[in-house]
Amino acid sequence: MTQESIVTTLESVSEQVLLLDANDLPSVASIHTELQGVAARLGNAPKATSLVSSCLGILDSIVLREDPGVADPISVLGQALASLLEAARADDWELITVPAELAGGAGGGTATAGLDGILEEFLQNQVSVLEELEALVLGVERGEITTPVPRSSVLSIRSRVSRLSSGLTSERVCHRIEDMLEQVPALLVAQTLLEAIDWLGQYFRHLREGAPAPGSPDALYTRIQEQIDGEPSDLPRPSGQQTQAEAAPPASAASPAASGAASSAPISLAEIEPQLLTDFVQEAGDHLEEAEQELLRLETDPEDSEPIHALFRAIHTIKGVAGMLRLDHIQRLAHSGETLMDKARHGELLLQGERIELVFQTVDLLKRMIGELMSGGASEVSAPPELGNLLERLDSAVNDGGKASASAPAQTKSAPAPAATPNPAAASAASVPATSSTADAAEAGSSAGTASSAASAASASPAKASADGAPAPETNGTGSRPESARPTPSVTNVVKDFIKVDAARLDKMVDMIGELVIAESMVAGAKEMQDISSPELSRDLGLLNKIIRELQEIGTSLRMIPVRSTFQKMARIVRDISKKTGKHIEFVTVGEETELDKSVVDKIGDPLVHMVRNAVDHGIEATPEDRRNHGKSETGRITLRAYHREGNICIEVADDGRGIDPARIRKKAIDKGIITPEAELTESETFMLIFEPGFSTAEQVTDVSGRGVGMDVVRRNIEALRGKVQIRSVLGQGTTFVIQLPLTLAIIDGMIVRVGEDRFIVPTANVINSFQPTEQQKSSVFGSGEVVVFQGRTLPLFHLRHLFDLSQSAEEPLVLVLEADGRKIGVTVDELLGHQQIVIKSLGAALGRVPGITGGAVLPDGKIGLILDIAGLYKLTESKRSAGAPLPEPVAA
Amino acid sequence: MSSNRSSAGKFLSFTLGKETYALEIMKVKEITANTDVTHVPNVPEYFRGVINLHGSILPVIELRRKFGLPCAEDTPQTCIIVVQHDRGAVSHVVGLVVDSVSEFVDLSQDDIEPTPNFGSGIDTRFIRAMAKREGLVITLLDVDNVLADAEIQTETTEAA
Repeated sequence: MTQESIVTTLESVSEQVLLLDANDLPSVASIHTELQGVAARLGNAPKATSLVSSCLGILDSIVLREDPGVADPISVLGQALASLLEAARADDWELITVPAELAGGAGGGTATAGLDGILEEFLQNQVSVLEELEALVLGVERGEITTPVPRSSVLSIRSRVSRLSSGLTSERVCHRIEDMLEQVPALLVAQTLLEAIDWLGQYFRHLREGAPAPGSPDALYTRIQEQIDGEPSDLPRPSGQQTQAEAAPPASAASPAASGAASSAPISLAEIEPQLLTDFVQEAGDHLEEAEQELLRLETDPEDSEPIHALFRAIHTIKGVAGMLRLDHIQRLAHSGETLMDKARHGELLLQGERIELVFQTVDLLKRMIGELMSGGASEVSAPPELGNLLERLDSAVNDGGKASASAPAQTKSAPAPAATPNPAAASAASVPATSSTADAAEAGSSAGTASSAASAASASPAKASADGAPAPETNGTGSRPESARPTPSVTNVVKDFIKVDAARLDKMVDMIGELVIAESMVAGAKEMQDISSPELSRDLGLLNKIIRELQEIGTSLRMIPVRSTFQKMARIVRDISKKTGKHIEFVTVGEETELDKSVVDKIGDPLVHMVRNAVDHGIEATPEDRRNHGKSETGRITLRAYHREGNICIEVADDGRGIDPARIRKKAIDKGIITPEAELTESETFMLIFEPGFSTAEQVTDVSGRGVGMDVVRRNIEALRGKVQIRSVLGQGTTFVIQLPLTLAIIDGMIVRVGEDRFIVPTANVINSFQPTEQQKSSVFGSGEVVVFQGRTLPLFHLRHLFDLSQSAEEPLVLVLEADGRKIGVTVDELLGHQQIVIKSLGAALGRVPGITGGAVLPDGKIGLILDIAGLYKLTESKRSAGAPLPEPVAA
Repeated sequence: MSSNRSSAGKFLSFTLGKETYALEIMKVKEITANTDVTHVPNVPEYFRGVINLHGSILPVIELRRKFGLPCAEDTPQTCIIVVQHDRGAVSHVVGLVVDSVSEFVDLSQDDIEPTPNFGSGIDTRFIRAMAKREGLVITLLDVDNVLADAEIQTETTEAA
């Protein structure tokens, strides 16, 4: 298309906008369509493309009745179009001036719109769909899914793509992906798919968190076009996958439902991923509920166009996903319903009386059919008896509407009266039990109009067939296939029910349960209680305690999510790095279903990325030859494993690479001055040196890892989550990093200690030992810096009294040996008061961060106890030292 | 600067020594007599510490110290006014230790006078206006300014 045609279109659109009334949805829709045409013809003109997509965004929000983010959307549209038109006439897109209201959002107009709850939720969904999509693509690429690629996984991918956004700039990207998937098997385009996923991910993050906007998708379009045109991908693909690539085309040739071709190998319900089905049932349920509400609104005011649009969207979405999942009956019904709604939407007929009754029945039947999927007992295979009848009546209603509008196009509003007349016949057919006969239905069909009678006979037959319980092939022209040939799934797909809950409310509840635990221990531990010797009371208290513990467990589990998505990201990282470094790596994950507190899962990502990178870059031998020489298979293996151990969660990153050489670590640590040549360290202590700041064993700094920061940050991050990290390694056989994490961040095991009149809580995880030092074990440096000898090592000894300026003088006969950040220190206390589970709370925003204190907790007597931040104590000692008396350095563990 | 604002409305008055102060009723969440404070080390000394307020931790500011008044022993009338103030998007809840709370007062515009010029000796940022009522001078506090000044800005300690 030429510049001229763009100018013409823009001129016509500009005129329409001038006269546009925001309530006139058909006109808005028509402008939208024309502008989309313009967008498609723009070619490489980022400035114009961006502005047009901003305009499309505004139009979308007008149609969807959302906040367009600008005060006067239509006048902004007008300005934007005027500027576009001017630039188009001059044939220079650089002339475009973006209206001030639109200038804020680089990616599209919607970026500036306030993120209301709906958009926020939408984006959240999009992100998780993207994650699933990425997992599927990686799975296909790795060839984990057998050859030839089963259509179900191609479909799974496609359905995820189709569930991705609509109404935003990303929609175009998704459309392109769909186009591509229709024509090229997923395996061949995995790389491009991943790029597209990255772009979309970046785009959604941009909308949600104000992250930098992704670049123009033009490059992506080019790549996609290349794939469609069959140009070879320029990216190297591991040779092992070539065979699958060749084997894949047959699968793809059969797959696209959009081609309309009859498929020979249907998918049984059992083949569809249960997760996919669950999502569909859930979403469809929401859509149908919405549809029902809109119908009720429509019934009161048939001329209101808004409910029609909402209805159309709801049914359309169901149709799309049902099509992807090859739930044919649902799709067919949704399709017929959609066709009717489409006519109504364009004002060709009015949804009223019989017709609205029809739509109600359609929604009801859809609901039932989808409900049957949910109960899982009956497969979707058998069409409900009334389906054929309903389809036929829908068709006839559509045809009548069409005729009516054809005869009186100018007066669509008044047309329904004649159009409605043939309908009673159809309606009466509906009231006849559908099982009765084909004849009734056929009769109804013929009375409704000749055009639909043939279809009615065809579609009525399966109804009869299934009513008789005798399997018979459908005679319907489209999508015909032997229904009974599908294996009825023996496993019942019982779909789980979910409720979405505001995370803040959940936290509040978990908090309150924590309080309950403490309140209970306060009551049970009260002195007065001890004085009562009643078996009944102690039994009841025991029961109360049990219930509360269970409640606490449930409360904790509410915030738990599987580590799957985090592991999935690692799969991507391994893939990318192994391509970059040319290493062949097999990535294995075990225990992805292991659950962790959501906040832990969110924060464990970064340290894991680092460790996985390290494993690929440093762990696995540089070349396959290296591996062969050591008698290993050429393909390296990295295992990510999650499991429970002793009330903690462990995550392991294991490689079967060269292992860590303790001698090399030691030499390097001495070179870097981290340890003295005399230091005696066990093997595991030597490994831990890797986590020292400034330690990096990479022989050369690569862009993958080895910048010398890294492992110390990893350890700090893990310790911030109150976790621990350990290393196991056998030279020549591989290395395993084990991260041990608490189940939840909100509750910790604490040791309550007394210093003078103050009480502090020390996280039990940090406590190595406690002992009463003899005079020989204590010593001092320069008269003030105290040290204590523990297990033959000298540790700096600190007094909380000094660090926290506590006024009371105390004897402090006990020393606690604490460890954090890989360093050990001794801290003096007066008394250990006991062990307890405590709920961590912030000290409040007004206090900000208090050095040496991580937070507080309510103690059994109702007072607040402060929780020591062991790592923060070092910093405190440093600041105290600079302020006054010299204190000894903490020593490396 | 804040004396230009209209100040009339409902106030809660309280005493520090012989002086009477008041703050807007809208800022007050509750009054608690619980003065069982846990001392928090290494924070400005006008922070008395933290208390347990219905299971949450509430930082408590000693108004006497904040305003440079001499310290006094707690009496049975000593209590903590829990105030809420918004800083940016987050709302902070802080307790203020006062000698005693007096009453809820309705102040009309006629009762209120702009802050007089004290010269350099007094930090007038904390004062919204002055009011006279039944022969009593009441200092209307600008709670937001008092708290903004008192609160510790969360700083990144990562630099070390």
